[in-house]
Amino acid sequence: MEKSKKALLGEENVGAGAFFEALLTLLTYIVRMSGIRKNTHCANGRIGHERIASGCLDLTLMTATLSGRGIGHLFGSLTALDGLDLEVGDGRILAIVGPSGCGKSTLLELICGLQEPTTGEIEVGGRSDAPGRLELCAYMPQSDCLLPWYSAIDNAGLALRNLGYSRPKARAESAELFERFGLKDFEDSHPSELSGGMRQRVAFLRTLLSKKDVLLLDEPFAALDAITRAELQEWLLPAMLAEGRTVVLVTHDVEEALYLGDQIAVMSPRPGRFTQLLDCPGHTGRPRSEVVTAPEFTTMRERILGHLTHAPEITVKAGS
Amino acid sequence: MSAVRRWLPPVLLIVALFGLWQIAASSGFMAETLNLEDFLVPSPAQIFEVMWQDRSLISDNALTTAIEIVAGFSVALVVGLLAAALLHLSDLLRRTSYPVIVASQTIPIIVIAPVLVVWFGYGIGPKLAIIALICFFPIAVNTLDGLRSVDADSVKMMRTLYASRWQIFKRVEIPTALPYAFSGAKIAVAVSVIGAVFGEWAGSEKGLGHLMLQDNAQLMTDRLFASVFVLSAIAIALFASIGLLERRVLRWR
Repeated sequence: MEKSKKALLGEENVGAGAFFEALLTLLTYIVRMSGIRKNTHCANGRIGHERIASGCLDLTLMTATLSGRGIGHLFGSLTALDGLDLEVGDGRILAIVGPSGCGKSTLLELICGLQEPTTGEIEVGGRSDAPGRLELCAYMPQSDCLLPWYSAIDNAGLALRNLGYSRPKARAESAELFERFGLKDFEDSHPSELSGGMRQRVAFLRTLLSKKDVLLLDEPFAALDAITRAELQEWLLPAMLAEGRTVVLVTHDVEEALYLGDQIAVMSPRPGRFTQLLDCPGHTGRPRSEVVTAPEFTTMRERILGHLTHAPEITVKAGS
Repeated sequence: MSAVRRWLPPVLLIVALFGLWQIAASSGFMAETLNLEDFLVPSPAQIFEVMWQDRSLISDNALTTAIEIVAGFSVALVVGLLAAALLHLSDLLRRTSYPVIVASQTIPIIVIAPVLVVWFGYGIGPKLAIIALICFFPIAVNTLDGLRSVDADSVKMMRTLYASRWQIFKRVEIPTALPYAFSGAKIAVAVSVIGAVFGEWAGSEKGLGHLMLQDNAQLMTDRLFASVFVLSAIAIALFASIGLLERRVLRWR
């Protein structure tokens, strides 16, 4: 009796071992499968590794031109974007202004290669496929998206870590930028300990550190108060000019667009179209307070604002 | 000071409850109201006295039960976390097996426990299976919810920063899910004790549940309550250690 029970138990153990082995095999298989399946959408991670693995990762900066023809996008039956053409030259800063909900953020996601447009074509640095664009475009989302479990410097160095840098190496490289951009001594602060303005700075450094040719900034300062926003605009402008990358900046703040951009594109309410393309006053290196109060600047601002708030006429009849 | 402040209120409450019980029991009020013999309604003092007298017997059985709980919970933790990860990574798998997982929780443990004893004998096997079955559900479901609650913008952000699927999982999804997993583990550990007792009642040679069954049959109500106290203490200790680990791991919160 005892013997048979032991034999039974022994067999059971073998059974359990085989079971776990099978489970493990299944597990690795599923992880691999889903990894491959998902990677068709976000192949850039794999490409990043390949760039490193083949030893040809070239992180020296190259700017890239960006162009789009007839970009249109549908969400179901809703037309978000309707036939946009755009052209941004090497190292130029294009600011896009438009009312809320006109599809500005969608446009950035399309340029970035996070999605393909429903119609039309977008080309960045000679690449017109979504994974190719994703490889060249860095995207700074509207909310800072700092990961609360990493310190400021580890957040900034995320791209480097994803490319396979060791943590000390990524930190060393990020630390340089922290010093240069006035974030020294905040390296080891966690996002929850940082002010809104500080968080946006870290988010911008994180975008810079991806070392991509094109920067796409989605209302980077929308969540900040007016004073902090002005302060950060003054901080961002020299940073962008020094980096010399091609930038597309989306905002609903006309002043911000005029101050930061080389050119400004005005978008209509949904379905989004470009209605105007203007040259900005240009970057003179004078303090912001002077720039934004110059007559030329204010005239342009009022003109664009008028254009944006232009609404269909309505007649108001007094009841009799 | 802060430790005192944190622990003082619950300790005071427990002491107060025991005090009330002590008065009600030793004055004969409870036995009279329930129309019972005095020995069937032990006072806390009597219970602690028995606990001390039979300390070796009780601690011996408590050790067996504690081992069952820790082992069963560990199995559930590993399987639960793995299941949550798999179900998160594969839509097909989630749609296929979610109903099965829910079904697993509807099994009436009291009914299935004796069957498991028939299948696996009087050893630790059936207890492990029962505890793991009870603990698995809150861990798996909570962790899966956590994985699915990931911020879509953060994932997009990671995709633009060269992240592979695995790196998104490791750097964004797992940390997001951790607080949920800890909640699941805390619920699981609280119910694991009940699972252990069910398992031992269905058939066992040792353990607090086994001892309770004997004491119940012999109307040794005082020692029965002593076992209950010890069982609660085990659960509270496990719960507290998970809480401690949680505070250590989730420093950013």
